[in-house]
Amino acid sequence: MAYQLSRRSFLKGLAAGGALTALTAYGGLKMAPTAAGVADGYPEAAAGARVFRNVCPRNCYDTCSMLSYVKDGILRKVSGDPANTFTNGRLCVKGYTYTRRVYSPDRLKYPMKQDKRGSGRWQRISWDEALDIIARKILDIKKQYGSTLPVCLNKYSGNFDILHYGIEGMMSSIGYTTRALGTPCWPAGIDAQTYDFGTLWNNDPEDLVNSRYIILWGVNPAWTSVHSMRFLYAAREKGAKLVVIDPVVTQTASKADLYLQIKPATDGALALGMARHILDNGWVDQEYLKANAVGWEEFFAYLRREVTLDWASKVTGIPAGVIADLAREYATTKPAAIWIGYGLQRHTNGGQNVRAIDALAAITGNVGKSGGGALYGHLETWGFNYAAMTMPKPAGALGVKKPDGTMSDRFININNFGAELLNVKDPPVKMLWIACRNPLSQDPEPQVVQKAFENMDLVVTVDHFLTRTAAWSDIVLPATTQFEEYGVNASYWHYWVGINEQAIEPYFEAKNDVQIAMLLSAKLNALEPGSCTYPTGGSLEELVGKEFNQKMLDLLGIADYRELKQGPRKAKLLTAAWSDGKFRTPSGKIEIKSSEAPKYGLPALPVYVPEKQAPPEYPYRFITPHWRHGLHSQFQNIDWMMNVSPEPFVEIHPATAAAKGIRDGDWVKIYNEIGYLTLKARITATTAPEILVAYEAWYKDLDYNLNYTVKAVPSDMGKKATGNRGLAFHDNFVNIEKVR
Amino acid sequence: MGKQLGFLVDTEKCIGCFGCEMACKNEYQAEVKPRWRRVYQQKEGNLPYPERNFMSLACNHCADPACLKVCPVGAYSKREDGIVLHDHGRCIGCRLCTMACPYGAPQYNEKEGKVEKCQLCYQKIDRGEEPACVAACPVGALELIKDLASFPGPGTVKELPGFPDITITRPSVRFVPPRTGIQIRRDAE
Amino acid sequence: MTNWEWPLVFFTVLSQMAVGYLALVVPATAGGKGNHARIYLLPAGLLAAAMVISLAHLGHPENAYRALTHLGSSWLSREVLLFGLTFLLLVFTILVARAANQFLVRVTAVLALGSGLLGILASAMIYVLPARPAWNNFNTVLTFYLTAFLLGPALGLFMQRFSPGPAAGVEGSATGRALALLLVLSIISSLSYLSLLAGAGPEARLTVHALVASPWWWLRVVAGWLAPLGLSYQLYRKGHGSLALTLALLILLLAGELMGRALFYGTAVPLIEGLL
Repeated sequence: MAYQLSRRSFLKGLAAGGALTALTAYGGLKMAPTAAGVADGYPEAAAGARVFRNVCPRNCYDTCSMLSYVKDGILRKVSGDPANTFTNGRLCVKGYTYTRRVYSPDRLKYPMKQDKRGSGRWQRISWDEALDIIARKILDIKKQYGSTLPVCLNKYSGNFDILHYGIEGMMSSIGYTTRALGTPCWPAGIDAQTYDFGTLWNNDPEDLVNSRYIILWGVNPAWTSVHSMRFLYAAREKGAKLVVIDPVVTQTASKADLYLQIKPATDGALALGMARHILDNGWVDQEYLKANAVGWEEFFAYLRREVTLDWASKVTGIPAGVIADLAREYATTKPAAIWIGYGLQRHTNGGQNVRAIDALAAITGNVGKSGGGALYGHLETWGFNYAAMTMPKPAGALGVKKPDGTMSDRFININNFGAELLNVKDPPVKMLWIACRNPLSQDPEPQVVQKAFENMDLVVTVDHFLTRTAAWSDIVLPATTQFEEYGVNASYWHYWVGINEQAIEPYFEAKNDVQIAMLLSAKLNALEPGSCTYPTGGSLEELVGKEFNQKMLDLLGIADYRELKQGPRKAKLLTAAWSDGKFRTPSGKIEIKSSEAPKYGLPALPVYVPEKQAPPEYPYRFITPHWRHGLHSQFQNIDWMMNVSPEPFVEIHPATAAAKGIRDGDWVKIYNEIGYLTLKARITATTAPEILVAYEAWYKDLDYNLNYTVKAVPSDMGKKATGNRGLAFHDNFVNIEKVR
Repeated sequence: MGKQLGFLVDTEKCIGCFGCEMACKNEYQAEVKPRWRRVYQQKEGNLPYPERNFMSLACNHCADPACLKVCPVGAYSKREDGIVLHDHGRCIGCRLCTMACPYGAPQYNEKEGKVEKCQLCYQKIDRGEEPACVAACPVGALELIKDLASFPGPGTVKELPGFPDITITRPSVRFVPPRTGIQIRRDAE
Repeated sequence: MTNWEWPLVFFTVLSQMAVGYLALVVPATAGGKGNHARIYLLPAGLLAAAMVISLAHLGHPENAYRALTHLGSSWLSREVLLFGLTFLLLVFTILVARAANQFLVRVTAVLALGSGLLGILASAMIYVLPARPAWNNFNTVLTFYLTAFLLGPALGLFMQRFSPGPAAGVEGSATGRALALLLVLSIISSLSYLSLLAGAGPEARLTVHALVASPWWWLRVVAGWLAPLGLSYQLYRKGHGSLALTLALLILLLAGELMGRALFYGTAVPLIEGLL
């Protein structure tokens, strides 16, 4: 029967690979006999399989609890783990492609060395040879520059499993190094909530069912957090109204009771306009403010002085009457929740806009309430030991001298990586280690990053695929997927924590980041004893155990991490964040007037900071949100995904298309002063006339990278909590013309 | 004839996430090309507002299946519970069913030289489980109708714009039509 | 629009030509003269070739025999049965013709013709599918028979010039007139077909757009209809044509019908297209 046949030939391929692996003395795939045939009918892929628990680790709100089905050493299928009441036994379109990711013919099988960077002339090498090249380069650098500061790490969110912080640990274990610091994703919002509440902490998203009014503000969970939709619908079934505020009619907006098409980056003006109307009508929760907030009097004075409905209407493009209705409904239908999206803060005034929304939630007394809240994200379940990350420096290591006489690593801005790499001197960066990241695809100005690569003596990339970045490296090392390693994962949205069991042997010669660190440590110490402190032994599962402390165990209500093998656990946090009233600001209250913000050159009050305007020569705002079929540069390249989503496109409003003579399916060029891309037009009134929308993704065989047009413009906040300001991805302006 | 099983496609809830389609592939580790279940985006012009609405369709396990009728080798059969089964072993790959089905349900697998289609996860049904697509929907937009004849379905309809004429094969599918929220748009002036 | 189904194109056109030829020679040889074995070799061979070609359409030709097992409702099963029967009857005819049993020859030849004509009906009915609006009408049946009755006489005419003898009944003037009339019918029916589709649903309209946008359709109009129409008229006026003229007529008609059939398969937009 069909699938059996193809499965068999596939297994044969794997078996051949396994034989090769055995020859290389690096272990690898243990091959099992071929699956038993099924005469006819449509055999279920996972019949007779053993089940393991996994977690999808790829930087997502939902961070799904998964089950993997293994038979004869082969991953047969995946499913959601019903033990997690948030993900509810379901995955998303991306999660269901995992078997094809694990066994993709494009997956990296062995360490490889490239003849000349970007030449495509790859040569398979052994792990020993790869590590020898790397270790010698590190030691050479140390000799030449007197420290390991010329070694730079760029690692972020391709895999958020806690053990993968072992990469940072590996860097620490060789000495002081240069680190790409910050987060491209959400720092402006984090700082905003840090100024207002002391940190970011959203209500349990499962608590959304208790809301009577929900504003989804610049967030598109129908694409980026599908499991949240169930709770939103449940709330609606109980009578809640769903409002979506977004510059484009997103998938979530299409499901809303009320959709408001706001001008991009003017969300603060809308929130302030609503606040003024609420103030004028006496809907302010004075009692709550008195007990829990500071600075609200000044805020109200600002509102009375500078904010009117008409002003808000002019700035946001939303009729004043609509703003007034929204303000009334939000303030009088309690509890009311606002979910603040990450797209909303990817602007030069993004953090400030988040603060205005926070203030709106505070003055209506919606903070700290079940069914209420200004939900952004949280890190309350991330209190692990980070044992894999915390490594002592080798004796005599030199770094950047701090004023107090101690040494530290050298930090450069992850959000302007290329330019900072080019600029950093004394010593320059000469070696790059890239893991869980694809900067040549995902960074703004990837042209500059690529230019910075030219100064490198050695670029090492650890990945599953020959990504844009891997293709521009000297050495690529094959990484394991979560099915091939142990780990533990938390979410920055829901409250669940789960263990990730090793379900299958590593694919060919793939290795986990921690295993790579151990091997590198052994190699370094063999070449120069004492040059690396990373341990060279211990199983990954043991390391998972070391990540747990009593506080984490208590939070999860377990005595031992092994209990997580019975299923993920939900942290015993307050269901409604801040319901204890213990805010973590300096004053211990909601700081509508922030005591910290001015220290970072920011307004103390959530006043409106005008949005960035389009320059005349580039009149279109190019918004580049997350894609339904991918997570940044992951998943879109999988064959099953290519089958349902074969090519990228740009969404153009019919009026703009008509003005530019563009028809559906035409090829258009989108360009500005730093770059361009060419892709197909999709005419749709889901966008606005001055907004073009294309979705970030990596299509393996296409020269598609919308970041060619994206400048490294910083957002307003991020410095305080994440080390660097974020990126104003959505303050990107372009022009468009028809190509053919 | 026993009860007729069917699908309820709630296009009001459906977010077009493609999870059902991919869950189907995952369940059977199917070949890349054939799409036993397929998520179709409703044309913007069919809707009161420009929106993103979807229809997730698989084999409709019709009361009067065209595939079964035209198949020259008798590879199709209809179970007591109404599932239209395709016998992969018997199929000779003439593709006539792919032409006759109004819904594009049977699809040709070039690699195998045979047709294949949604079997409504009959093994799962026999074990009392939900079909893979239904079990995968994160928002409950896909349901298995256990008995179409007695399906009350207030607020459900038999067809939606673009859905092929249901009189041809009497498909065992019902829809909840999309509901329209209010849009305050900037291009409205 | 990419699936031109070449095996089916050749199978249907060649099998229809074989039956059309039979339709010409069976009445013409009713008098019982000539070498019947030789006459029936040609349609038998054509039909056999057509059926062999049709196997190329199958994913699993080795199991083609199973196609006979669903006669109850499958027109494809019936088509296979009827053409298979036609072929067997022709072989039998050839065998009894060698044994010089004129009565049996006549009976089996008429039966073969009858079976072949029914086979064309079965062929056509396969495609009368509501799921393909472009096919789901009388035009499918009509065009399949028109193919038979255009190509059969054209083949007969050519064979007569090429190797005069057995099918003496094929008379140039009458055949020319008949072909011209059939071509006019074919053109008129095609035009009315196009206007019918244009007035039908969106998928049918897509078919019209695809047809008139295709250079192949216009080539088919010129090479398969207009040019043969001119030649047929010439034949009708002259009473008989040269070998070159009959060959040109046959080639043009055959090319036209093959192109027309390829377009038939390639432009039939399925109903589900309405969702795409």
